[in-house]
Amino acid sequence: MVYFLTALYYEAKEIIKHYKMKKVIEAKKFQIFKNDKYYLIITGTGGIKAAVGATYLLSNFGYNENDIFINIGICGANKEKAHIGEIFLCNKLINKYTKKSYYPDMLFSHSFREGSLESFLEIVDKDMIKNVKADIVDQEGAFLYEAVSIFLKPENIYIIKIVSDFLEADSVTPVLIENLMASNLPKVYEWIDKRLNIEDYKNDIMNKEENDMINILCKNMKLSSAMEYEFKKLSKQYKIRNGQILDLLIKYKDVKCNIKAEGKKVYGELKQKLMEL
Amino acid sequence: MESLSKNLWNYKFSHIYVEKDALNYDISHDIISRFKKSILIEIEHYKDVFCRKNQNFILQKKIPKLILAVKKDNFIYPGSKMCDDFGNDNFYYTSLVMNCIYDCEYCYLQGMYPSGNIVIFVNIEDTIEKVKQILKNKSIYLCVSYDTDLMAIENITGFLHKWIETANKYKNLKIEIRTKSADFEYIKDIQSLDNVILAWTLSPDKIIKEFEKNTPSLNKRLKSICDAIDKGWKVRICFDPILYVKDWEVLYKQCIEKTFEIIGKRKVYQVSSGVFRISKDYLKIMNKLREDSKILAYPFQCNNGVCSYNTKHINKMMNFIKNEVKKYVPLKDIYLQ
Ligand code: SF4
Repeated sequence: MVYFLTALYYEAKEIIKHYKMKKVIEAKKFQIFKNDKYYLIITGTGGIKAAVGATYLLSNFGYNENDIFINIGICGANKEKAHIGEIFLCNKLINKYTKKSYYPDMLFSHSFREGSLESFLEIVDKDMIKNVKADIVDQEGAFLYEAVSIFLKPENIYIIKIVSDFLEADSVTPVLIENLMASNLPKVYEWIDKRLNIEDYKNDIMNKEENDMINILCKNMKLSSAMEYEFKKLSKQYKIRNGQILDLLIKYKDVKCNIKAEGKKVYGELKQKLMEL
Repeated sequence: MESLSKNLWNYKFSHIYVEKDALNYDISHDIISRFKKSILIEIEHYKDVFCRKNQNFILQKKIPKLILAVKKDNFIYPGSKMCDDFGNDNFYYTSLVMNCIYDCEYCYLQGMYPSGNIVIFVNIEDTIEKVKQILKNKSIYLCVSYDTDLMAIENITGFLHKWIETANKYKNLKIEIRTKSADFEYIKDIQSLDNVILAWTLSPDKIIKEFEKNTPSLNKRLKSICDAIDKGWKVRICFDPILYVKDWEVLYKQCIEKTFEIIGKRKVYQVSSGVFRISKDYLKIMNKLREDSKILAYPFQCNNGVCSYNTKHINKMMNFIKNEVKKYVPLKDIYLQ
């Protein structure tokens, strides 16, 4: 699953349209949209709303630790450091107040510019430029990252910002935001598509047939729950070492033990075999 | 629109994280200048990157980042009970680099560190100073290539040159440099020393290909060994860890034969060997990371927090290795764990 978070509706509008998302009616506290693969939440401006929104989204919609989280939105920048419409993928996030920095894991290549983002509680205007350490500024990124990194892996959290102004918040209109998003998001969609091709899923080691056979043998040998646990573990290890296990288990298929002691003896013999190469 | 790279993975050392303090050291600038394309990110403390929660060790190993830091404490540690001191008193090790450019499936580092990224502590002089203080009172046996492979990154750090220089000045300092590399040439300009041992870990080629990712082939390692012995260095050969895999007897027999065939009449200082053994806590983490690993999928037995094969298998394997090696090396020079 991919989770988007934007602060403003104007930042979200084009994404909702692109992925043909529908509003989640049950979500009462925030506006949430979804399709079968993507969720999007609009949290309102500010770090606390973003952190709470992210937690609400992940907790209420059954996240998986391999899921991807993308915060996308506009940001301000120092005139010397960036140009309007430039897309940043942030590699360092600074919380202006705690002075703590966070580092998303940059495992994947991309065509965006990389840089640092400093997150403030208030709108940053030109007079504050001396206080800005990073390339770009916003009101969510660092706060949000701290919250999301409790749930997800650092290589799967992306803070993507599009420069909207040189610390002149008054110049940022809904139309400007919509235009910036519409003209830059295609590059982001293309990258997300490629990123999603690299999935880190592991297949189950034991297949259904093997699991069924193990369950039959457990029953037939009248194994205690401790022995059953051990048998399953040894079987899995044997399969990993040998690539298969049915050839061995099948030999015990017709063994039926009437009492536990009998089962223990048969299991002892099978266990020895499971421990060999 | 700028086209996105077809290969979405970043490249090795695509990012270098540098502690502010580390920027005060020339070596940091030397290292940074070697990686002109890398993105530099200034950090407060290496742990802010190295110790993040939920990191993916396995993915990070594919494309590690470099972290340059300043070591503030723990310059030298007492030797681990899982390693042989070869009869030397006062066995210590240093850890100036955390993690390794190689990616061995059985490596304990994956259980020990939260990250697959590589940390280089640039203030080696402080560790050397600490060692010198200890040397005032006693001799020490110091393993300098622990928790990493220093020879494999000598072109980046130059640390081996500094250690060997120190050993040259302090005869009561005996150093072990353990490696799987084929990079003897990085130190071939240095005069060999009696109190420095180069310890090469060797494995059968099949094991190298399957379980020691990114490491040089057996032939290449053997070529480095021959060059080192020819230059007068004391070389210890380590068949370690011996892995309980299919056809292990055939594989290790061939490996031992090939080793001594290529080394020929050259004098090997010592041979050491041991089966795979690992701390219980590390094994637990490794099993989670590599759920489908053939070498970790074994019903290990644990004693005093150390896990290894069962006694029957250990005895069989160690006897086998001893009998093979003693065809080439006197028993007194063979050390078994
Ligand atoms: S060479 Fe040694 S330190 Fe490096 S990965 Fe292999 S086992 Fe670990």
